Amino acid sequence: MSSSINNSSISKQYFRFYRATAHPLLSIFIPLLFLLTLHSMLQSLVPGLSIPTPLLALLLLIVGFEEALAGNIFFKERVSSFVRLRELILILLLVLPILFAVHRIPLHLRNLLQPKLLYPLFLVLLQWLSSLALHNRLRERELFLSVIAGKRGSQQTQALRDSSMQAGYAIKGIKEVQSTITMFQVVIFVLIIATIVLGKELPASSLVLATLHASSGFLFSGVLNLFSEDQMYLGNGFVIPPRLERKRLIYIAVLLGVCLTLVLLAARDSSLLPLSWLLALLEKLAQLFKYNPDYGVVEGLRKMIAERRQSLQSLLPAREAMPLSLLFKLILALLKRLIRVIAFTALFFFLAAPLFSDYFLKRVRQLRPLAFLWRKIRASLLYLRRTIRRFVLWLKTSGTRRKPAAEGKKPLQTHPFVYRESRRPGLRKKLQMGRVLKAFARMLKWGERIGVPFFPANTPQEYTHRLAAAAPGTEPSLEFIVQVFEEVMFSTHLVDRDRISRYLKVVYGLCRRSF
Amino acid sequence: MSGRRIFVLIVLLIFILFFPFRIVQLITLLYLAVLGLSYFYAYVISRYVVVLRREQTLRTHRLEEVEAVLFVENRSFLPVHYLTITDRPNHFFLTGPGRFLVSLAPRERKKLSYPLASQDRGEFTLGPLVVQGSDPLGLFPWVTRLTRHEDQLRLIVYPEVHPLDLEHHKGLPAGNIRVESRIFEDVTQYRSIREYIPGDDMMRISWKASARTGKLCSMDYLPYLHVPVMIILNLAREDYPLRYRYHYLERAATMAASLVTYFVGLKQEVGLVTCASIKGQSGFPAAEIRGTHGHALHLLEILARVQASAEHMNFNSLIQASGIRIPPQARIEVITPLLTEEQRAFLRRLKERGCAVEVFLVGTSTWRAEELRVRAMISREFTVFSVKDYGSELVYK
Repeated sequence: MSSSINNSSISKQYFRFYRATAHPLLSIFIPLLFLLTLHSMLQSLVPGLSIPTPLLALLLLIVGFEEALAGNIFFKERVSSFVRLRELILILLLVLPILFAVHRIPLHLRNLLQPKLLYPLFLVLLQWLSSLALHNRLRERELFLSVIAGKRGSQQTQALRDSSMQAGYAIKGIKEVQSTITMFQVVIFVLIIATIVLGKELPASSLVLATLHASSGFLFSGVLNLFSEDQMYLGNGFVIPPRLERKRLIYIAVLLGVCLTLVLLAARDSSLLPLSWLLALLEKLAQLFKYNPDYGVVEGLRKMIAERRQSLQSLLPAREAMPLSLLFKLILALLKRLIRVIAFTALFFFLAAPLFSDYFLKRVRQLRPLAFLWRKIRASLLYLRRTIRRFVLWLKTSGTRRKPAAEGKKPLQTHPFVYRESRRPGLRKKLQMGRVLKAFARMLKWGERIGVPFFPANTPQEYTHRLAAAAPGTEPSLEFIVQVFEEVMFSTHLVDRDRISRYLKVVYGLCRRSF
Repeated sequence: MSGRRIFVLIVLLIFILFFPFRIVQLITLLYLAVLGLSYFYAYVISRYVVVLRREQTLRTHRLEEVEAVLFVENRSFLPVHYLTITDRPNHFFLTGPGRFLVSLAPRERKKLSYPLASQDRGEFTLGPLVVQGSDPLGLFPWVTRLTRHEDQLRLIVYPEVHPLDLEHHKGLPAGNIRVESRIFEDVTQYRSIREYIPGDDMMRISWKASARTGKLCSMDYLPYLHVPVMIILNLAREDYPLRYRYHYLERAATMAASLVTYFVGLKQEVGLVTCASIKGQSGFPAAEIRGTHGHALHLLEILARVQASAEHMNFNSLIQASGIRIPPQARIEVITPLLTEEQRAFLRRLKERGCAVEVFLVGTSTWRAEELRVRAMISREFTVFSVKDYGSELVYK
């Protein structure tokens, strides 16, 4: 297979895939896996941090998805950072009750500062912020692709020239995301070492998560390398077709799969060489670079620190001795309350401000919520009245209703969608009628376009006669259309599927013709 | 491999060798395996994917398309997700880009081709071929520049050739050019028998036919002409006007190539003497009068490679320096801007020896009254054509 720039381009559909799927997924899962692994490590180090991992995973996932979705919507509307801040506060406010419920802590402000709540809240905050940061970095690439999407040949070359600066930003963004991935890997590795050094036990879930995190790090890094290489090739005049990208992704998956299999087979709880050899080597290396410190300087520093500490300690009793007046205490309490009230009021207005915006109110007015509510109430009342009437009727006719058929006498086999007693059509019949009616309506519109408007007094037969007079050569088709239409609309049985598809084909074929 | 990667590798090895913890070994081994396999993949692919050219030399005329063909072969056992191949076109105006994105299965061979068209005549080199790829994870990108001699393509671009229609009046009999003049009747080319006309040569009388018919009959032969052609091409830079110099020089080369093709097409012998230079060669390029197709190609190659000469030399010295003998009754085709008195004297001598001299003047559209007067003088002595500045119709009288 060979291709070149002249006959290919990045399609708009493919660009939308990047914007709506690939980039959001990356920005969600890079921090998600890191935070989950981090959580499992921290649980080993600090046993007090307890939150069920599946719940945390779900929360982080939801938060990540929310950020990606809102990010895409808000980016289209070019909203300010205040809106994103409001979104974050709302998310934290929504997550809080869930955490209160999970830990069975009474929902009160004074319980807020418990580590049980603060820790997952902090993780949620980290997830949201990391997703935001990564998504923003990848958005530079989206902007770059949006410029060239759907363009070919000279137009594409021109667009590439015009967006060279954006291309630079895109690469920079990709590099930053890659650096974040590397940083996450290093943090996790350091934490693993720290856990081992501190003699803490790592559960099996940590092992799985750490492995998953490491392999996903490679996967994400590979995907990002693919992005930057694609862009480089684009600069050289090559557009990588999506199927080759998919092929490369498969290769990445295969490579990682092979590596994981090998590693799982090879890894064990014993080292190939004793650790004492390494220590001996390090000691020898240390001897090579032996350093004799100046003990006088060290002693001087120690003395200086002790003096400073003494002077500071002498201040402490003086502070404790200072009495506080009652007025001062009152003012302090007042100030505290005032600040709290102002802070909460400001927060409330900050969160509720969009509800008072002209745009929102206008939109609400357009939607007419009261009318909508009234419609629903009316419909419910009508339904209630109908049900009551039926019930009353049922009560009234309870003695006069027909008895069921005698035992051993089978009822007649009928079509499942045809009701003998009530002529009400079934769901499939309704759907069929809807399709046929829709197609017929389309034909009416077509008729109007060619100068044969439909009059309500016309039967389908009459109308098609008029149409046939205006559009010569369409008589057989119109005859068939009317035949099927009448059969579907005025019968209780389901019409053959082939006949319906033929009907639709004839109608749409007719509507494409012009006279 | 970069220093940072080597450092990471050493740290990983220390962890693998000395730390008896499954989780540490798992992570470090994973890093090591991924890095190692990626490096191995990149190394194997960069070594075992080869690109070859079908031809070492391509020949074409100016502005005519020629197809450059490459073969790319994956000699390894690993599949290649994709790699790019770029053939550097140098001075060429390309009608199709010499860039390819190729995906290869193990042991697969593919043929790639692209059209080339040059705006300039001359001898050019295509390449180097640049092959670029990476491992699937993109950790070890690689670029290979194929700079060996056999990886480069030599392209010889001949001047353009336009059709000519010249008259043939003089030459030697018994050749290949069919003419009307009975003077050049070729006794090997029998035509018919006719009645004897007084004045017919006795040798022409067909005695057998005369005996059969009872009247004197003469044999008729087809007149054919043989014209050994010597093309004298003046590409001395100073002889051409400064304005449009390059264009006129190219036009002169085109005229010469068209003459070569024209006379070779008529199965005549052609020679060439040029007041020009070829890069890397001393002296003025010249070729003896010969009549084979191989010789014609040689002439075209000379015309492809000649450049304007800084040195001016008169025709007499030029012929003498080349050591080429001009046969009597030869046709001398001179392609030059305005002729000097010295050059005219030389051509006059040739004419006196029985040669037919035709002068093709280049750049006449820019001439002023003085030059036109000289042209009128030349045309009184020789057959003169003017070479048109543009278009496929090359000459007019």
